[in-house]
Amino acid sequence: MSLRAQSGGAGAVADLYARSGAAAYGMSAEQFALILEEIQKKYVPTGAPHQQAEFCAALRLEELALARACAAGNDRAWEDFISRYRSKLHGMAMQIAREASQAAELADSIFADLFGLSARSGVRNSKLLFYTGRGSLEGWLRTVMSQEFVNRYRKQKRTVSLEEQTEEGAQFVASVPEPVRSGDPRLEEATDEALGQLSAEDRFTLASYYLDGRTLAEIARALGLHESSVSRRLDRLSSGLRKSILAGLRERGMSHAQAAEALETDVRDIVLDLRSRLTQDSGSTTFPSRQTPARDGRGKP
Amino acid sequence: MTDVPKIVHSRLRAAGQAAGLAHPETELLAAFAEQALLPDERESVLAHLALCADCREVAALSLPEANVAPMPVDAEAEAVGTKDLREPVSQSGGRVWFGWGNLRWAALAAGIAVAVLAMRPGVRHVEQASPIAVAKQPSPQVESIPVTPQVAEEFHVQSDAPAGASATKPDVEKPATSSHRAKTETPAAKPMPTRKQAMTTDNQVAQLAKPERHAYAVSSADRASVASTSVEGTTEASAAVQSDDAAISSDLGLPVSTGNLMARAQAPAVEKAKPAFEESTTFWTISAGALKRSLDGGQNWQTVLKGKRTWRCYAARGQEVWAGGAKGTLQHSTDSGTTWSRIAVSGDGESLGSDVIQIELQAPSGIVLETDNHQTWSSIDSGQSWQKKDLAEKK
Repeated sequence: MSLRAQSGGAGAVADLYARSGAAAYGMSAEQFALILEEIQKKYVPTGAPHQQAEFCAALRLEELALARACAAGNDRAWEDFISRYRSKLHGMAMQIAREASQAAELADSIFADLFGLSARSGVRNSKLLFYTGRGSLEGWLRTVMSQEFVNRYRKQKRTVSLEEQTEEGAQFVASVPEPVRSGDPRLEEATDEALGQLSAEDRFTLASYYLDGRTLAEIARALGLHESSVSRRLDRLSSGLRKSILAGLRERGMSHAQAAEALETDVRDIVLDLRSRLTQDSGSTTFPSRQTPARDGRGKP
Repeated sequence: MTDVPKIVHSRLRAAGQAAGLAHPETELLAAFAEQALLPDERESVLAHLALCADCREVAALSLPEANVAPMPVDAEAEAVGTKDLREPVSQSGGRVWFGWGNLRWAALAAGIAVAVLAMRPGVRHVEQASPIAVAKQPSPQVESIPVTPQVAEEFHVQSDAPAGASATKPDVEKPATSSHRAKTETPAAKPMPTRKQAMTTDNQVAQLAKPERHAYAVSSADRASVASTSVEGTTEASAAVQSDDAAISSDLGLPVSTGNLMARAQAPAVEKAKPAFEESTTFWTISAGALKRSLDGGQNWQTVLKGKRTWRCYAARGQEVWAGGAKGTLQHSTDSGTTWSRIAVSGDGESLGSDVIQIELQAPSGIVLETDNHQTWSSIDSGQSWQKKDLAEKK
């Protein structure tokens, strides 16, 4: 079913087109309708016509028109884009990278992607083509920049200079330590089961707080909650997980005491691998078996 | 806050490492940060974020107006080992956010904001800071940043308007013979602006990030390398698109306009300071082919010229405003855009029919128009008579 039919006729599409201001960028109503149809098929392929119409109406139409006009190479659209977003992009880069030269490099890289300098077969391949108006264009640009920053940081972490390797002692390769033996496998099973019973939002909260070290405020902003709500949630999760894991361990044959002990004294907390430590400490033989005769001052034995 | 057992940490981490993760699209992560996802989409994205540290990092950095310090991936090992997980961690080094001290200052700030609101009826702010606010509000007006006295001085915007007159570039001294077209300068010579915050009418904090300037080489021919103000930007860019792009385009292998736009985009950006609340100035901009005016320093905008033909440039001097558009359209106002009169541009038996892309006002009554087909039309009597020059003649 076409967008026109779903959206209550040509009038609704015309209204969306008028709201978008796409005409100023040389985009026809038909072209804009095709864009909306593509987005609608992607995100709301099946749904009541009124839901699909509401979905389209909730899109950021003006920003969508601007982005798609830029992707198509419309000069006026680029003028508007630069006047509105250039300063913001540099500001975002600074917020993300926190360092001027990195921020400049990041912003330049993003501009290149947005312009579509990496042309294929002479066709511009602008990243703006992928903006669908779900959120604000500014937010989308911020996410694009964040992804680029995270990717760059990963690459930098993997690239270690020879000097760094030497300093870190990589040339003095120690024997490969044995993997730390896990504790009772039932503990892992019970924990996985307890975590699996949590909602995605709860698991995200736990991972953000305990793995990433995010603050309550940061997690609250990500979830659209109040900071105190996140704090209470973490308290609830903490006590709830403990109970669930204990229950899971008892189901797997442990007594209450055994379960409590297993939970509190997991061997992972005690990093004790004597074998590898002893091997590293005495990697070279102190007194070689081959004797080197002493020499006098003239180099003769 | 009670800590979770260490086994929970390791199983959370292991779950992410074991899963073959298909990352959500940029669009979905951006919409997640703005609370703009459908419920089932949000659930799906959260399920992924619970497993993927990289995407959590991206999501955190994507939060609007974030002051989030990016955390390296392996910081989790350090954080687990060194941080007291029992205490809620805050960005300010352990201080509790909702202590009485903070609430007192928040109440004071709110009171000041209310007082400011009461003094400025009818003010509406267009900035959005909160992701929740972004999701709940309709599509915001995309507004232009007005020229302020600081910017006018920085960019040597010149005007002979009296100090008390409402002008697009207020309170700037100007030599009598200089033109009224905004000029640009190499930014590297200017001191770096500072960070500012402004309270909005909706009690949202708009933060103006002012990035450091970079040591870019700016060619004197590249006039567009600095113009980041939307007031001047459109006119400058319209002209700059057409001019002196051969070197840039040949380097990048791109069409002329794209190369120049790229150079403009990569030039250092300058944030403009917002005008003080007590100032009342008229600002102009062109957006989506319409000429818009703000009479209150950029807080509110009205469309003053919009029609079948798109408007491409303008120039203002006091209450006098000229606007140029497609197919030789030229309009003139002497009352800051309240009323307009159409000006027919013709001379030497010929009429202007191409798009006007730049207007320059020259004291005392001179006007110079530039068109998209490299013509220059000039008048010395406020548009009553015109003379035309082609590019070849000018050379």
